[in-house]
Amino acid sequence: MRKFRVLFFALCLAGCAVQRTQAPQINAQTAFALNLESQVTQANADYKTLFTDIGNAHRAGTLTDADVASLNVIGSHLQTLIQEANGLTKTYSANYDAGVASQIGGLLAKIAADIAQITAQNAQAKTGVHQ
Amino acid sequence: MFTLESVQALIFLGTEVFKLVTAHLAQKGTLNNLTQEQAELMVKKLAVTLPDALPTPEELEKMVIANPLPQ
Repeated sequence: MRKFRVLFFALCLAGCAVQRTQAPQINAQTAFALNLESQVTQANADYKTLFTDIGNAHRAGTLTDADVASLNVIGSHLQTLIQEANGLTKTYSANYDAGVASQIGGLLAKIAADIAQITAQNAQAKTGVHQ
Repeated sequence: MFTLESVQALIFLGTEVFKLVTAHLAQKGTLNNLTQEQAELMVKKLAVTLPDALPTPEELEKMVIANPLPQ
């Protein structure tokens, strides 16, 4: 069940924002750059939303200190990954280097896995369900 | 077979997935309508908005959002 959730979140994050069939006016290189950037931008937004929500739930007493501490461990890892992806995306937008794009793709997969884990662990902690 | 807690967890996950997918689809609609020139500008613009450093999880937890996720 957990693997399915991870796969589903990965697919959500990996979906293309710009589709070549629907946007033939945009060349492949630019469309690829936009897709990478939009996924990295979305990861930044998700990270901020998740941890602001975790803070609210902690204050509301829905999450314990231990729950938050555990989520923060994954969060710190996620923060590092996203910062790295941000830096590489800036580099990519300037040179469209395929190697850099590949590195960003690898980071996005790890980011999706972390976000899926945080979301699942957050939900389990809030409802008292533990695997 | 399904406890109340597991159903609540599934509903929570479903809500999160729905939010992610709708946000993603909204973004898709906007980007697909760009011209080549606008798309190239958007590549530069988006790259500039990406921060070099992000707040830590602890710093984010101290912030209060206007519309928190359902508890």
